[in-house]
Amino acid sequence: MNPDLYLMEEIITALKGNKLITDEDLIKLEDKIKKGQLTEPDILLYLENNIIKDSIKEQKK
Amino acid sequence: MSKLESLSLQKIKGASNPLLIEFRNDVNFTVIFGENGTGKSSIVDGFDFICNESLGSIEDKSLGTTSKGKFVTTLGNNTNDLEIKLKYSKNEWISKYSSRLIPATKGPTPRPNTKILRKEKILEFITKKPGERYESIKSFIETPNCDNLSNVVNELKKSKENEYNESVRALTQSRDSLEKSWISEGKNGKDSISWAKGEIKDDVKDLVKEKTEIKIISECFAKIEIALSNIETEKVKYEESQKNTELKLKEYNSLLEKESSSNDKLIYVLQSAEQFFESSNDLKSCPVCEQTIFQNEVQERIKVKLKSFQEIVKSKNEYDNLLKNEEKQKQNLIREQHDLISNCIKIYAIIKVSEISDVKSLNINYNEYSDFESEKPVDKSQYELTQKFFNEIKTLKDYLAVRPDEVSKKIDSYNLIKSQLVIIEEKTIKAQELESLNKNIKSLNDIINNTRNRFIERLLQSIEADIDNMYQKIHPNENIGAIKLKMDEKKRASLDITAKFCSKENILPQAYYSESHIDTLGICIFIGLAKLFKTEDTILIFDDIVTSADQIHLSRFLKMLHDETKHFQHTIITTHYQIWRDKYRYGSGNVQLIELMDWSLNRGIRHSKTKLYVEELKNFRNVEPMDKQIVASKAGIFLELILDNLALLYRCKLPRKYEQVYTLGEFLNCFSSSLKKNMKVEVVVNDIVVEEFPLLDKLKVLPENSDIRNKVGCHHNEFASYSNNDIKEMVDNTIALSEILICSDCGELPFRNRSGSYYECKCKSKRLYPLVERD
Repeated sequence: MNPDLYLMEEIITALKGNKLITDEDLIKLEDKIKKGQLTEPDILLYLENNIIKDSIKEQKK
Repeated sequence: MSKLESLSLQKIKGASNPLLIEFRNDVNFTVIFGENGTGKSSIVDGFDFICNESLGSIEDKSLGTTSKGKFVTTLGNNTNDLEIKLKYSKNEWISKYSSRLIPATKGPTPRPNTKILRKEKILEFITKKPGERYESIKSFIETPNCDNLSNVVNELKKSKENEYNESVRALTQSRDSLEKSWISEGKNGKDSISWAKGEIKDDVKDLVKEKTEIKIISECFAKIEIALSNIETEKVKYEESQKNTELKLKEYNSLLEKESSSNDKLIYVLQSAEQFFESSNDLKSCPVCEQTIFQNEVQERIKVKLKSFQEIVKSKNEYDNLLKNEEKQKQNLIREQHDLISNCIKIYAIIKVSEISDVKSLNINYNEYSDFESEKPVDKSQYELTQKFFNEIKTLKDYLAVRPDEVSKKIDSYNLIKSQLVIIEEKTIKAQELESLNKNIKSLNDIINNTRNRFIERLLQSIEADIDNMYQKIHPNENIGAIKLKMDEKKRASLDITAKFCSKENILPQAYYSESHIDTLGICIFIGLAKLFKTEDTILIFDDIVTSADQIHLSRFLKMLHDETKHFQHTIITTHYQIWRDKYRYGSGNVQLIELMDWSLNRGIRHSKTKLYVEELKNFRNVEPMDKQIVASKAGIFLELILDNLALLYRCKLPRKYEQVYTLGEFLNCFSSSLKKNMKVEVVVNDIVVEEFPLLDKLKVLPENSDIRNKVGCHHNEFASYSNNDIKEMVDNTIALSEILICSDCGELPFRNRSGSYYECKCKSKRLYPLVERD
């Protein structure tokens, strides 16, 4: 068995059940995640876009 | 059938000379035996280098700041000389150092999946702290993509945490700064923020306007004061010039009166005539009466006449100059008055519409100064008006002396508070954003780590039974085992191992198990993991493990290992245990035994099946002039090896020693006469014996008439003191004996007992008789 492949699948499944990254964005990132090619800018882009700015905006309101 | 064909090492650790290890393709279990320091770990490191691109056993050792790669190369050699070749399943890989001293292997992908267990790693599985144990197990489960993702998220987490801390520090600094301002201003309001917000509630537009007006009025005031001072000076100068002009005029008129024949008009006419004649040439007649004249004469007479009026002319010139000066003084005075007026008008324009209370309180009737708004030329009346106006605004001087500082201070304070509030607001937002981001990065990190931990725990639990099964084979009926591998839920990345001891379950094995029980448990965990992640090309290597087990456990362990080898492409085990060597030395058909010989930096790693040795000896023998020292040494080692193997094969008697090191004399004398008489080698082609060599004479390796023969107790390193001819004869005899005994095809000595009648080599081309020594 290839443990890496299994593990990455499980990580993606775990992320899907979480609201951390939207499912739509996760589809875009899935290939990169599986290949271990996710970079810091990728993570920041999706985390910031989907979570941070919205929550700050809400706070500001 | 094993796919592992050969491994060749050059300049890696102990392999100072090229070493070729050829693996038998009919077995998948190889035992490499060698005393300590004979090169076992160098061979294992060779596998690690080429298959895993790892520096091997040196990887976990502390060697200071120097690159570890340097230490993997054989002492005294260049890192570029290191080369490892692996032949496997008809493919070849070659590994060397990259420019950064990192192992780099070239060849088809993937490389054989090679798992290596070293003695020190076994302890990591069991006796290390749970966190370190987890790391050890985790590193075994290869998840490079997940590791990469985890590293990226971890690095991001660290850098953003630093950024957040820095942001909070900057925010605290800004708040402290505002707090100080608040305290210095008397701590009005409930806190510094609400005070600051109150302070900047109204803008400073009016103050800025006042500041601008003050600036212009102040400048005009300064100019007016200069103009007033200058006017006084210029006035004196003008009056003085008027006086001087008047006196000079009187003097001039008096001179004119004295000279009755003259007047100022005549002088003027004469001066003009002089100028006229100077500009005319050769004038023949008078331009007035047209009578004939002589120009030179007339000019001379004009000069004489004017000379008589010299004093009057001088006085006239002085008067003219004084008149000019008077005019200049007048203009200076007028200019200063203009300055005064224009600056007063500027002030008028500002204060007429100003909202400044000090200005308003002057109560000026601006209608009186409506002329300031017309563009008529400056005259005396306007000047007087200006003076009046200036007298009215003079009292502003006190205001102008104090107010600018007050206004500037208020504006600066406003700007400072506002900028502090802006900075605090920006930094608060930044800190909130980072806090929120960090929370999410942490969640992402937790998801990755928790998923990985759960995944590993599941994998480990899935092999618990298998590990226990293997362990019970080594320790049957010992009431131990029941291994449980569990991740500690309370701690991050922490693996607990529990087992049974004296019927008590869930005890810590490291606390109750003996060293050998811990060793075998670690090995079983390693094999269990290797089986879980095996591919069809997995090579399992054990480097000198199981040093503490007794013979019974060792036998069980080997049996268990034999059972497990079927799961792997090839299993290699290195050992320094004599018992293992003896077990596999003769006739065990399903194991390949490779014996390593004494190592030295000069000789490198050598093993019993190396064909290179004969070839190398021949090469040294044929070099002219022959290096007696080297050739004698190499021939001696080789001869000892052959005789040692024959002595072991026939279980010949040798003196008992603490160290099992024997001289050539002892080896040569250990074969009985009857054995030597019966020993023969047959060469077989297609199952037909084509040649036969009795060994009786061939075993007389040492020269007959040489002193060497008398030195029966000599060791090979003493040969160098003998003649070249003696050495050559001994070397040639050694080569002849080895060529008879060692198969030129498979490189083996005929030591396999498969027929029950004779020994034969791997390819069955050579047979050795007898099978046993007869009385």
